[in-house]
Amino acid sequence: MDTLTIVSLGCLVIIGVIVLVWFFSSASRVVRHEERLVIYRLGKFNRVVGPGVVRVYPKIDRVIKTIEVRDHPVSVTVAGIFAFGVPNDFTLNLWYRSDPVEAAGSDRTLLTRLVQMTEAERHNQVEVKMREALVKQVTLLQQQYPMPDYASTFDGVIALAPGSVRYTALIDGIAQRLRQTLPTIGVILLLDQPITLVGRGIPEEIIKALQQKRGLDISGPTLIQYGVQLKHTFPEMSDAVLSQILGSIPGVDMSNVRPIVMEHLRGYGANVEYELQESGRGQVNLQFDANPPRLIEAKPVDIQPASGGNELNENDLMVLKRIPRSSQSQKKSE
Amino acid sequence: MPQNGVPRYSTLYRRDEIELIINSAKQGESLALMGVAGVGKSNIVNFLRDIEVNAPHVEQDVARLHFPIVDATQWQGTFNSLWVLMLDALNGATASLPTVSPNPELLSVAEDQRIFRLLQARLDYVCQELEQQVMFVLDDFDRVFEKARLDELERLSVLRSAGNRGYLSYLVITKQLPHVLGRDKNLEQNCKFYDLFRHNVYALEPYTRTDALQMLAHLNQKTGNVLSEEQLEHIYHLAGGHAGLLKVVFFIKQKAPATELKAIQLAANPDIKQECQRIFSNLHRQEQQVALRVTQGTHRPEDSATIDQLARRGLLVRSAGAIYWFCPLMANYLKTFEG
Repeated sequence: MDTLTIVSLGCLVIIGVIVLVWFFSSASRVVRHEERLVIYRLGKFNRVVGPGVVRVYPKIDRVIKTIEVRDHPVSVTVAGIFAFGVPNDFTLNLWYRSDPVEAAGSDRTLLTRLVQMTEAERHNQVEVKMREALVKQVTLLQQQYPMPDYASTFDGVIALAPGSVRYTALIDGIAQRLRQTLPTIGVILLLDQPITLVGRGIPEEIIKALQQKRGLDISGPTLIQYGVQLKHTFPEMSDAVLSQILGSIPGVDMSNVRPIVMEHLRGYGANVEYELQESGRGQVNLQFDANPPRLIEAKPVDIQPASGGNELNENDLMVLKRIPRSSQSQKKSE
Repeated sequence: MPQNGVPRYSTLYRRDEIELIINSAKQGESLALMGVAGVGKSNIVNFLRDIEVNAPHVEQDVARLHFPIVDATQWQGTFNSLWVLMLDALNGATASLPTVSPNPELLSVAEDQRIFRLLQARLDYVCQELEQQVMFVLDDFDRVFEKARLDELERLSVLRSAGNRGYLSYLVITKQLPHVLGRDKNLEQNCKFYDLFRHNVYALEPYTRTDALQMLAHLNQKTGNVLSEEQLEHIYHLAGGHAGLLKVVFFIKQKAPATELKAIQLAANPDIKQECQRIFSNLHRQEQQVALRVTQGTHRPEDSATIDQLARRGLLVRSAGAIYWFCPLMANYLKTFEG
């Protein structure tokens, strides 16, 4: 081999090395810890890479998008959930991260689909999954913990008060459902952070009805059950504090609790005093017996009415009409 | 609100009810109002009795309208007595209008026929000659539907059909459904009088808050303004819009203004019990049964239509699947009902 050939080969090697160095150096990228890159190769999804140094080969690979996989909280409002006879707007706070790779596991088809979603679409789907979970869990709760037939709107309102059995079951059930359903949209629910009900909107007309004090007949067993649970969970809690907690339930004006209700509540092991003052303000005082609470079941009494008369058939009951109300008189009479 | 002379009726007093009645009268259409005992039916009657005085409140031209008031509790169960009541009422209501001498031929007919013919003659003259509109207010008509014969009731329709269509109408006021009261006569199939209002049977609900407070303010003013507005509001809260209960609670409070009224204590008051008993005992039997079941929380799915009817009557309030009584006094009464 002559000198020229050796020099030529040497140059080629050097050029090759330079090309290779250039190629690999330009293909290298550093991806931050909370990010992932979605790589397409020759127009097809190839892989998700990151964090750290990754290679994206020029002309062959293309970064389609960057996914943020940071843990973060989100508040989701789900409107119009009918629970225990009361329509609710629930706002729940949860922690999650978007991580299509972890969510898809070994399912490459799913991963291909998940990386195509935009973050806005993913967030919308989180809301959808939350609604699904709420609806299913509320339905299940209503079967597992039904309200008594005589339950009032008030009972329906406090049925899901934080700390109650139903509330705990609702949140646990939602977490369990979301853990299964969120990965289908590339989201991982963070279990080390609890799901919390941070807001509960009750329609104004219901709050108004509770506040209007017009013949509200609040049987209140749910109220006292909730009170009893709180008392047993936190035995050191004073009765005054407990009364305040019950009185602070959103949407509930304690001045609407009728004395007659308190008669019912005594059956649950509580001594209840109620004061309704002329100003319309009320005060509930609860004191618990040392004995465990007991539930007195309502016994229907067969009472005969005072006077007789003809029975009403279906057609009879369709005759009577309400007088049409003009908007003007409705407005002014409020 | 003026200190002197709180008017009994505000400009909004039973606005929708009064408008409905006046509009019906102007069109010559009959209607029925069904309300529980003490709900304020008589106050509507009194309002109509003085329609000319109250006309500014209703903002309608009532110059040609006349409301003869027939108090059917005075009915003696005979043909003639009803015509006497109606003729007296008509003469009273149209006293300002010209009169004509009765046809001398009427002197020779039998008494019951004579009164009816006089009534018809006066009506024909007022309606056809003077072109006035008459709406007979048949107050407390329950017993008439129960006891009167079908042919007797039919003559009310005859009065109208004899050339007085568009001029003569009826406002029938009862505590129960008219056709149920007259079930044995099968009014739905056989009675032209019932046909006049069969599609216009309306529930008379308790007062609105405005009307109730107006009534209480008027009572308060008449008795020396002993009670404050807050106390009147509290009375309304206890009694709902039921005129009878409002009045009873007002006078209890007025006798001892410093004593705080509590619903559970008031429930034991004999006057309150009596008023609640009046409400309850005048309901249809089926309504009573369902009312008690609702109070006990033992109502059934098949009670739904009756509950709806009680709601239309303003006795029950449905809200988000729950059912409440219109006032705590009635709720307490039924909870302690002993039959």
